[in-house]
Amino acid sequence: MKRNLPLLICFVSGTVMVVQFFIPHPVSRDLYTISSKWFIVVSAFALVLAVGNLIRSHYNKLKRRLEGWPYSIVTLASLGVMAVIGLFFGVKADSTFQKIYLNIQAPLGATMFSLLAFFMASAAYRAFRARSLEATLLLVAAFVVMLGVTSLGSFIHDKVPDFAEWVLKVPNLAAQRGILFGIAFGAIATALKIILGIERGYLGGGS
Amino acid sequence: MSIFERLTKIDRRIIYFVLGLAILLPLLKPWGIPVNVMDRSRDLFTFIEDSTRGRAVMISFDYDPQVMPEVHPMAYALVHHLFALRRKVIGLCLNVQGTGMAVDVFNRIAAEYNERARSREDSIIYGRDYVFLGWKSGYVAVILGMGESIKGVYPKDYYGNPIDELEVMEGIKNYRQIGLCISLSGAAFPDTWVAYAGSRYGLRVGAGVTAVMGASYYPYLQTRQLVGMLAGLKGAAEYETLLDEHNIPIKKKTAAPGMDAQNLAHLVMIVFIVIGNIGYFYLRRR
Repeated sequence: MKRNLPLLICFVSGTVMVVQFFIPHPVSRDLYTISSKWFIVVSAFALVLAVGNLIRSHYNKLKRRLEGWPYSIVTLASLGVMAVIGLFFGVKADSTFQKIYLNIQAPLGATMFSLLAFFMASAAYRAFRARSLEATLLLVAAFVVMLGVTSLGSFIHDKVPDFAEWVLKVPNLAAQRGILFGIAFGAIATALKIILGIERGYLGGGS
Repeated sequence: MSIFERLTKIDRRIIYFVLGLAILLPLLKPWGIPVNVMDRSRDLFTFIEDSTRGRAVMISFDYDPQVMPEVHPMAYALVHHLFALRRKVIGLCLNVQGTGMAVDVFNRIAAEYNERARSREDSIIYGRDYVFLGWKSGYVAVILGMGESIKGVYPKDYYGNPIDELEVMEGIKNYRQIGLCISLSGAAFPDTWVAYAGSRYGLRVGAGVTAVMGASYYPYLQTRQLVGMLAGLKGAAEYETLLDEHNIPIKKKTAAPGMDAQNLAHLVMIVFIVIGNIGYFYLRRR
C-alpha cells in the first residue's frame, strides 16, 4: 500500500493531465485550473520541507562537530536573520532586508561567478590544443565567435561579426536542434516511464 | 625546460594576473570601442517598439546575484526602454533570488525618471505604470496558472497590495492582454516560458541570458518562438546602444563601460590559447 498508493496517484495524475491537454472543454479547463492551484500549494509545502531539512542537516552537523561545522553556524544564523528581518520589518526597496541583499548577498554571489572567468581562461589555455581536425575546427569556430560577438571582430574586419553570426545561425543551430530533439524524446520517454510506474526512483527508499 | 615547453606550461597564476590586468585597466581607463549590434538584440528592441503598443509587457526576473554582472544591466536597459515608451510593466520572478534584483531595477529606474519628471503625468508611479508581483513556488504551475488568470496565481503583489486595486492591472486578466514576456535568466527559464506560455497560450517571449547560454537559444530564435534575445554583457551594451540610437537617454550606463574589459579579456584568452598551441606544435614536430 505504501508504494502502490503513490504509484496510483502518479498514474492517475499523469494520465488525466495528458488527456486534459487535448480536450478543450470547460470541464477539462476547470480541472486544469484547479490542478494548477494544487500544484502551487504542494510546491509551497515542498519549500517548508526544504527549509526544515536544511535546519536539521546543519543542526546535526553542529551537534556532532563534523568537519566545517562553523559554517553551519553562519548558514543557520543567516537563515534566521534574513527570515526575521523579512517577515517583521518588510521587504520594500529601502528596507534592511533589501540593503543586506544588495550589499552582502549580491556582491558575494557575483564574485563567485566572476571567478569562473579566471578558471575558464586557465582551463582553455591548457585544454584547447589543435590535436585533430575536429579540435582545430572547434578552435577556429571559438576564435571567430569570441571575436565576432565582441566589438573586436568589427575592428579586425567588418565581415568577422557576420561570419560569427553565420556560425551561430547555421552549424550551431543545427547541432542545438539535434540536442533539443534528443532532450525532448528523452523527457517523453522518462515521463512515460514514471507515469506507468516503470521508473520508481522518486519514491526513494532504495531496495 | 626549453622555451617551447615553457609555452605549454605557463603557471596559472601568471594567466590569472594578466587576465586580471586586462579586466582592470580598461575599467579604470575605458577606450570606448564602439559596440556593434547583433540581429538578435535589434529584433527584441524592434518588437518592443512596434508590437507591444497598447499592451502590457511582462518581465520575469529569473536570475540570481551570481549572474548579476551579465543580466542585471539588461534589466536596467529594458525597464528603461519600457518606461520611456510608457508601456505598462508587470514584473515577477520564477527564481526566488530574483526578487531583490527586481526591486532594485524598478526602484532605480523609476527614481531616475521621477528626478526629471515635471508633473505627476510625467512620473513613473508604482501601481499606475508598473507592478511587481514577486515570487511563487512551482514555476511551471505559475506560468500555466497565469495563462488562465494572473490574479488566480498572484492575488496580491510583492508588497501585499491586492492587484485588483492597482490601476496598472486594469483590463489585464491573463496572457491575452500581455504583448510580450521577457525572461531574464541564468538558467533554463526562457525554455520554460516558450514551452508553456508560448506554445500553450501564444504569449510572445523574449530572453536575456548569460553569454555562454546564448548559443543554445538559436533554434528558438529561428522559429520565432523567441522574438529576440540579449546575450551576456554585450547584449546589454547593444541594447544601451539601441536606446542611444533612438534618443532615449540613460543617466548611467551599466553595460557599455564593461565592454572594453570584456574585449581585452577575450583577446588575452585567445593569445594564451595561441601561445599554448605554438608550443604544442613545436614539441609534436620534434
